[in-house]
Amino acid sequence: MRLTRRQTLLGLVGASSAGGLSVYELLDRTTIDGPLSEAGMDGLLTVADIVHPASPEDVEPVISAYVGRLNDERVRGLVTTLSELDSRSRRHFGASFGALSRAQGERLLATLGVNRVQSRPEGTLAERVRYHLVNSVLYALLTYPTGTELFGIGNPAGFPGGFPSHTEEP
Amino acid sequence: MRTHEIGWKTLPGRDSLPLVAGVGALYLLVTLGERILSGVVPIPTLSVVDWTAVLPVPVLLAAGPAALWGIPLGYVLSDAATSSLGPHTLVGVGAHLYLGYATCKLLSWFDGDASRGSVSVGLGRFVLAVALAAAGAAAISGWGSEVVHQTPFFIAVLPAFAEFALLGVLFALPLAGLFRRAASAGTSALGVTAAPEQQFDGRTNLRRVAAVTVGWLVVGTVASVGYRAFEKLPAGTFTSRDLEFVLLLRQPTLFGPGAGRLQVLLGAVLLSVLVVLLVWPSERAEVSTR
Repeated sequence: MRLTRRQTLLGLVGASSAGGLSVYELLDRTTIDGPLSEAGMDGLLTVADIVHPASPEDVEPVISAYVGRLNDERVRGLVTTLSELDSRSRRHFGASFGALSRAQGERLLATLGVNRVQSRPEGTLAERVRYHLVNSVLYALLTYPTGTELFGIGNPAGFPGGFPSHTEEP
Repeated sequence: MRTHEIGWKTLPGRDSLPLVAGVGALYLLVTLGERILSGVVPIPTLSVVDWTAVLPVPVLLAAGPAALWGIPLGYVLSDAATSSLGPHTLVGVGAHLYLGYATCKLLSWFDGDASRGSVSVGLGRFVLAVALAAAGAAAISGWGSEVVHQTPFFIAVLPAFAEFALLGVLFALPLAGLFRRAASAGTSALGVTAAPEQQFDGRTNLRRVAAVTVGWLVVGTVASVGYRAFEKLPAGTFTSRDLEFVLLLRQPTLFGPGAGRLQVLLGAVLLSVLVVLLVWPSERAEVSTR
């Protein structure tokens, strides 16, 4: 096939634009169904270890209860994000995200730019990690006494513990 | 108008299959070595560096066309070995191929007036060629990261550039003693230093490649950061200054989150321009030898 330089350029622009946009749209709609696995819960606990000083044993029931209250769409977003994060983690550390140490997990999130992007339910992996993992875990912990007592707040905003705290003996 | 034969001139022959397999094995060796080493010396910062970025430049200089097949094979093998095979594998393959090929090509353009250069000038040119190729590879990496929804362009570009440029230069420089021989073997095999019928003015081509590469990095980064900031600014910022028309550009359903679709199109156009500039240098830059 004989092509001029200009024809080649136009062909390449057309092919790469169409190909790039197709992949972009296709991956935008790719989600993983199913409940959060044990490895997924480990991933959330790794995030909690990175973003909050509470011990993992205290944190697990809070996060587990929070995830149980999420609707299907949020769980789907969470599972998909964790699955993609696992893939990145295996590439860099040879283990899934849930199996990483605090320092390794922190380094991976920083490499993805999670600390520099805005939270977004649909977007790049970094933006989704911030929305579905970091912000969700922080919300779960900071609306429950387990996560706030370390900071001297026994009855955080959003926690329905106001009545007993006012009626019981101090 | 001059026409070009688009053919599979670089298809590996049967005799180059061991070389392709060798390059693939080298990738696998570096990946698995990195795994083992990170188990012994658990430094997270080093673990997130993709050490295979060391390979494209020396491998393409030494192995020539065989590396064009060996690099994709090796990259896929190393991703498969770490159970991280996915769409981003294609992005990595593209960036590595560009890094190696563009370095060879840029060096060949420098060769046009290399006869009067000293060793230090030669090394300087080598560093410049690797840096320019690394910038292009980083832009491809950033673009690919947007395409596969991994990280925004502005996040991916800088670490990728540092990784490609530093590892490429630092680990290819020890090969400097072998460089002349390796370069002549590899680049000649690629047909980029063989005496052509026409002589190309390398500087013009270099300037064009440099302009497109730097332009891509700047425009891509500004668009990536700028649109995300624009999305978050309150509407009152614009309405109070009679700039309501600017808000018409706030169309996440049309442009994608963070203007991802625009970023994909920008990258597709500029990548095509770079490929054409490298593979088919401009006719206007030609200087007839006859």
